[in-house]
Order: sequence, then structure tokens, then C-alpha cells
Amino acid sequence: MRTKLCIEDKQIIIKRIRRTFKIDDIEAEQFYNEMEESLFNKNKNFFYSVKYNMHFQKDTYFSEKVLQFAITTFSFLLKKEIYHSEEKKIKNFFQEYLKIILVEPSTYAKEIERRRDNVQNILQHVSEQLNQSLDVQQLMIANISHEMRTSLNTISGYIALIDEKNTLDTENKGYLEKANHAAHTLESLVSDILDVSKINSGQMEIKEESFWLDEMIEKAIDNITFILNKKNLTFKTDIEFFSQKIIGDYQHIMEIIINLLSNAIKYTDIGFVHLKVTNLEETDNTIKILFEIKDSGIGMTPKQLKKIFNPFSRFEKERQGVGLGLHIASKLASKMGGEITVESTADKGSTFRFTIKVKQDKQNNIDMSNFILCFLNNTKETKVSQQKLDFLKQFNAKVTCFKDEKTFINYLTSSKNDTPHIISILSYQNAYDRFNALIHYLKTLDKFKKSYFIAEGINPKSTLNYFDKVYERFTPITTYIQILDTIKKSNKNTISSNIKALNILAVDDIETNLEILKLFITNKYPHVTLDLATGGYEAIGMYKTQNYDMILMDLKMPGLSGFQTLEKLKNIKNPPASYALTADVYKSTYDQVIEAGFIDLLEKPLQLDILFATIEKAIDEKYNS
Amino acid sequence: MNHAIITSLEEIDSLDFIPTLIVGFYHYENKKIFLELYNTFHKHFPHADIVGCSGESVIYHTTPHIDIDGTNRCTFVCLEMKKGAYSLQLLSSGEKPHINTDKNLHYSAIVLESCYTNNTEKIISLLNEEPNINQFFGSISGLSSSDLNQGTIFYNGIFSSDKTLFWFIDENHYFLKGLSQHNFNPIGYSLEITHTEGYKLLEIENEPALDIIEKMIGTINHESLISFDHPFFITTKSKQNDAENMTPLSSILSIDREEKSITLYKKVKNGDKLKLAIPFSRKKQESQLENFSQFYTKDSIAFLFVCISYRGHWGKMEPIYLMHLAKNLNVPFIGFHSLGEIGSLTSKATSLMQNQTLTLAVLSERSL
Repeated sequence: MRTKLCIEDKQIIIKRIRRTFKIDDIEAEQFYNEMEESLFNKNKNFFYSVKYNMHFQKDTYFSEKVLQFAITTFSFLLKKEIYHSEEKKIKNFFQEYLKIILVEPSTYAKEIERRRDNVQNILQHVSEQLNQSLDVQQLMIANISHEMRTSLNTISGYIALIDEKNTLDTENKGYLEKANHAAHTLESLVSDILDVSKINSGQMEIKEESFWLDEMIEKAIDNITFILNKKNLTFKTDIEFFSQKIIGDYQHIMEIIINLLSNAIKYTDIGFVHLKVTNLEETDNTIKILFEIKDSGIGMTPKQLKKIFNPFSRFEKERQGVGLGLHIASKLASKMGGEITVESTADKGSTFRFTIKVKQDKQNNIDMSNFILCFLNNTKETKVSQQKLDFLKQFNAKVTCFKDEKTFINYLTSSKNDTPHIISILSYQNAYDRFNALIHYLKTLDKFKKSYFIAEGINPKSTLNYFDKVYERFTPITTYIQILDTIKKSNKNTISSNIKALNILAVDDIETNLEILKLFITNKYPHVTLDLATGGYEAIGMYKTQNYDMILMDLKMPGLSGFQTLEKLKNIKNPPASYALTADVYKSTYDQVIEAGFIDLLEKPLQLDILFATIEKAIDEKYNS
Repeated sequence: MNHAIITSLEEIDSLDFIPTLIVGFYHYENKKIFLELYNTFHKHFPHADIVGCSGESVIYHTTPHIDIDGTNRCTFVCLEMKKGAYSLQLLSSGEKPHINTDKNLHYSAIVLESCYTNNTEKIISLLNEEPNINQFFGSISGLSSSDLNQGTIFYNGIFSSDKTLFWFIDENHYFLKGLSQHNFNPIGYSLEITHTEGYKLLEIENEPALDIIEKMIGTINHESLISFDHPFFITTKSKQNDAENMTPLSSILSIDREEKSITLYKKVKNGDKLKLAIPFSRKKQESQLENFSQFYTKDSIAFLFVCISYRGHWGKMEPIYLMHLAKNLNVPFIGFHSLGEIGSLTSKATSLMQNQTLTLAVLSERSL
């Protein structure tokens, strides 16, 4: 019985191996020896080696070469007469060879596919299960945050009332301030958690509203003034003039700016924080705005930079916060189609850039004809001032400008001129005290009784009692518009809003909430009648016997909910402007509220400026429409 | 330490040392052949201890050869270990587990058990609690409650189907190091096992076990059972704070549609937690095999206990993957396909009863 192939054939096959697999003589001979051993001694090592190489070889044509070699060697051997006695053995060998190189890998591939299907199936079921749990979790967060916000509403309300009464001694005032600070921290934490939850669940609503950018920036800066004043930092701004309203999410854009500014202040102990707002690119309908916040703070290492937008990233634990702010800001920015980028060097400072493209609102129904505005600017700054003056003139305002203090005073004191409605002064710091005295005098004159005096570019520490409005930077456009609007209205009706009567029905199951609401409203508007109902049915009873101008309704009440109560009120008679009060601030709640027939939703804890603006609106509608 | 893997009688004469311990592995059905080989070994080396354990199939690798599919139905490793540097102990499954070692010495151990019994987990706990036992690895040959082949242990001429063999290795002279690796990731939430009977899961989260599992993984058919597609991570009540990478897997042995129960290869208790498992990608499975290269030590011999599920997962590709392991480990190994392994999933964890693992223990001589 043959145990080897003849030497000539061995040489031919080795040559073929070398050529096919592009290997050297030694490797080719080793390959041949393994093959021969398998052929005559039924050892499987050769097959394993080939299969191993096919599986782990990176050469994608290797399998093709293996097949090519098998076919050519098989036909070569079978043609040889000397191997006719070994034909069965040779056939068996190549049958096994082909089975191992072709059939087994394909069976294996099928097995992998079957197992992949299994995994897919499991993943699908598990993801459904996880989604269900996420829904429950979201509901839980919403409920917890509702309860926390409700409680915080009470805490903050009482703190504000105690503070307003001003009956505490210095020590107790300090305690109250700390309690107030803790309440605010908790409030912002609850708000952050809610934001993250809303972003993650796709519930974060991006609103499109029209607003003046400079007014939003002014408000953002106001918001950080408190923490800024605690530090000895130089705060500078360089804000371009934006002559059109923009359309975007006012609240969220402002949140991002506040977050970036407060972070800059938080991580800067010495030096400066700069805010620069630039009009990057403007088309007919859109505008690309860059907000750049630069500081000379602690900066970040490249490793820290990589994690900067991750949730709970805080690099100095002793600094306040839980590290959600930047995470939220970056998510919000991207949700609005914007982007936040950062450059930073450890110990030198950071520069955050927030870029956003928004639409421009060209429908400005502003009419300033018949309004007289008088400006003094004796500083070197001319660019923004000029842009603003051009803007005001565009809406037919009569604008008079002075660069010289004396001429300006002469103009004001000369009786032959029409009295300006707004007098705005931008001057050097040491001149403002003089102007303050001048205004004191002017206000004693009848003709200036209805004029508004504005100071721009003032030092925050100055006390200018007689100016009606003071700005550290430029007066936002909205200020002019609002003042002129007020003047228009006061021309129509001279009764001040705080003496106008208004009947409000407030419904909330938590009595402390009602109590706080009453104290806030009646303090500010003594002529407002506020009826309090602690439940839906009580409210219905009151509604039947009284006429109300406004309804403030808590949504989550035992028994009849706010929605159900409103529905029942509608059946009695057409309800007046009704506002939902709730701590649930999910988009779905907003949608439900509007659908139910409420005018809007007031979030708890109640923000006083929003509450008062809502009441003012109701007064305005009652008396001026 | 002299060692040699022997797969046929002819090779005995080529041994150039006198073994003191011979460890052999044999297929369940080859007890007769194994006994004949034993007699030959015993004639040649009457003072050597000869022990063995049965398996689903025998694995051995001496570069460049690998064999796992029964060309050789019995395989031995002959070891020339120093007198007194190792000890053997046989324990009956009915006996209260106890360990006979010199308390002044530190040991590594190989544990070979004929079948999984009530004693198995107790023995593992006992070894973990023994202050002088460090690393230990091992394997379970059979399962008493199944209709699978009964496993046996061989100890100096006698086969036993209800015994555990301990091979204690004095760490002053030798050391064992190794690892158990499986190819699965946990997925989804932990589910509480609320009703059990021995190996049987009757209820999970107070619902019929089979219903709740099939709701998540689809119908468990015969194919998925024999392929061991759906192991579970089972965390015992006392270990619920442990990291996930230390949690052992447990395979499904059978299901009962009428009873809506699932029987596992291991015992389960009420209050244990269950998590579903999905396999790693093939790429990761292959690269895991490369991890074993860390155990390379010159002149060592390795023991390989591969769960029968590996054959289920890898099918005809198993020799190829074991070749990959061999190429990376670069140490000859001998072992078998088992119905349970004893080992730890990380170098820091204690050894536990495992399923679905490839468990490797490398025996090396301590250099003086």
C-alpha cells in the first residue's frame, strides 16, 4: 500500500503550492507534507490548518486559492495511472477536503445567522421592556418634580413674604437668605433634572417666538449680576446692534447664555469675563449669531475638555452645582440647530462659543410717529448709538441727538421746544451725578412730568435716583417700544393699573398656595378681588354667583381636576381668560392645556414677573380693549 | 517539571522520565480502553498515581497537533512531580465535605467531579473558605439528574460515579494560574426568581418561568436547547452586590411546557436573580481567546475544561478556535468537554461553579 506520492509529483505539487499561495519553498514543503500525511494516514491536521488559515487569513482571495489548488491537484492525481489503486483514497480525501473548506464554513455561517436572529429577537423584546420602564420612570420624575415644585412654591413664597415684611433682625435675615438660597438651588436642580428628562424623552419643546435679541441679552446679564457682584471680576460686553427681531426659543437661548456666563463666573476667581455677540452671517430671512463667552478662569486640561458636555461633569467639586448645566446647554443648542464649542487652556481660561442660526422677523408693526426722543452721547462710542438712532428714525420717531452737554441742557430747558418723550444720556461716569441733579430739577417742571429719563453705560454701583431707567450697557430696543406703548395707553386712559378693579377666581387644593397667591396679588394690586376655592366643586359654586375677569386654576387636584373643572365652568357660562397652574411642564401638558381651552400655563413655582404680566394683560384687556 | 502528553501505548516507551502522577481523560464509553491503558501504565510505573475523569470528548494539543474529535479516545499527561509536593483526596458525594491538607502549606487545586450533586456548591464554598487554598479550577464530568452519560472519576484502578477528586498542589513547588471565560453579555433588567425546586425554575417575578422567559427570547425549541443558545446569568442572593463580570452563567438543560418550568444545569434558589444573556460578536469571542496568552509560562502544561456548549456554539469550527487558543497560549494542553466548570471569571474573583465557559489552568513549576 502506498504511503507517499512519487517524488516527481511531489515536486510538481510543491511548485503549484508555492505559486498558488505565494509562499517560500520551506512553507510549501510543510504544506505538502501535512497534505500527504492526511491523504495516506487520515490525519486531520492538514484540514484544520487550511480551515484555520481560511478563517483567520486577512487575504480575501485565500479561500479561492484553496479551492483552485484542491481542484487542480485532485484532477492531476486522478489522471496519473500510478495512483489508480489509490483512487478511492484520493476521492475520499478531496471529498473531506471540500467538505471542510466549503460545507462546514457555510453551515457555520448559517448557524451564526440563526443565533444573530435569536439575539435580534431578544434585543427587540428587551428594548420594548426598557422603553416601558423608561415611560414609568419619566412619569415618576414628572410626579416627583411636580410635588417638589409645589412644595418649593410654598417655601419660596413664604420666604419672599417674610423678607418683604422686613421685620427680622440682621441675624435672622441672614438665616432667611440662606434658606432662600437653598430653595433656589433646589429649584434649579429640579428644573435641571426635568430638563434632562425632557430632552432624553424627546419632550423638550422648541418654541418659535419673536423677540428682540438685545432685550434677551440684557435679561440674561441681569440674571447673573448677583453672582457677578460677589466676585471682583471685570465684566465686559461687546454686543452688536440687531435691527430686527429674531424668531427662536427665547427662554432656551437665554438659558444657554446664562449657563455659559455663570459657568465662566463660577470658574474665574481673578481677571475677567467677556461676552461678545456677533452677527456672523445675514441673509434675507435668517441670521447666524455667535455668542462668545471668554474668561480668565481655571481653564481645562485636554482630558477634561473631552468630558465637558457629559452629564455630571464637574472639575472642582467645591464649586456649586451638580454638573448638568453644560450638558443641558449643549443638548438644547443642538436641538435648536445650534452648536456650542469650547477652547480652553488649564490655568489660563476658556472660551465658549454658541452659534445659532435663527429666522428674522421682519414684521415690525412699530409706529413711532409723534414721538420725540432726545439723545446725548458725548462719549467716544458712536457705532451702536448711530445704528440705534437710524433704527428709531426708520419708524418715524423724531430723534434729536447731541454730542455736547451744554447744548443738550439748553435744548431741554428751552421752553419753545416740544418736550421729548424719552431723554437718553450716554456720558462719562463722573457726569452722571450732575445729570441726576438736572433730572431732579426737570421733573419738577410740568412739561417733563410724562417724560422718561434713561441713563446708559453707567457704573453698576452708581445711585441715580431720578432716572427712570438705568443701563450698564445700551438700552434695549424693547425699552423704547414699551415706554412709547405705555405713553400711548396712558394717553387713552389715565387711571393707573394698580387702582383698576379686577375679579379673579383662584382654584388650588393646597391652601398655602392660595394664601401665597393672595398675598402676592393683593399686595401689588389692592383693587383686585381674589376669590379662593380649594376644589373644583367649590369653584363651580362661586362661578355661578360671581362674574370673574380671570381664572387661575391648578390642574392637579383631588376630585375634579383643573381640566374637568374648566369643562364644567364652560357648561355654566363662557369662562373668562383662564390660566392653568401646574408644576408639570412637559410638552404634552402644554398641548393638553391649550386644547382644554386655557389661555396659557403658569409654571409652579410661580414667577412673580410672569404672574403680574398676566394680571396686567387682563387689566389691559378689560379697560383698554 | 517533566511532562508529556501520551495518546497511544507506543509512546510510553519513548518517555525519558519516570512519572509520579498520570492524569488521563477518556470518553464516557471508553472506560474499558482506559483501564487497559491504565494497566500498561501501572506495569511500567507501579509507583505513579494514576487518576482520570470522563468527558463528552477528549481534547489535547501538543504543538502543532490538536485533537478534539475522538481520534484518540483516551489521553494522558505524565508528570514528574516532586514527592510530597502534591496530594490526592477522594470524597464521596454522600460524605460531608472536608479537606485534608497540611494547614502550614498553601495549595492550588484541581477538582474533578463525576457529577454535579448537592455537594458541588458546598465543596466550592469550602475550598473558597479554606485559608490555605488559593487558586482552584476544575470540571464536572456528568449530571446525576439527567439522561446524559453518567460521568466517572478514576482513581488508581477504580471508576466511581459519585466521587470528587481533589488534586492539591503545594505552592512552594508548583503553581496554578488560569481563568474561566464565557462569551456572553448580560442584558435587560434583573428578574427575581420567585419559585424553584432544585434545578427547576418554576416562577420568575411570580409568573410561570417559561412564559416570562419566552416572552423575551422567543420560543425555546429543540435546536436552541441543543445549541445552548440561551444561558442565564444567575446571581445568588448573597452575591447580589457583586460586579456583573463575576456572575456565572447557567445553561438550560430542559423545559417542561406543561409545568411551564425551565430546568438548569445548576441548582437555583428562591430570591436568586436572573438576567438574560446575549453572545459577544465573533470578533470579540476570537479576541478573548487571545487573552489566554497571559498565562504562558515556559515548560508548563495546561488543563482545559471546555463546556459542551462550546461545541454547540462553535460547531465544526471548534478545532479552529482551539487552534487559535493554542497559538496564543503556546503551552500544550489536555482536557475534555464538560458539563460544568469550576473557575473564576476574573483574576480577582473567587472560583465558582460555571457553565458555558472555557476554563484553563496552567500548571508550572516554581523556579527556585
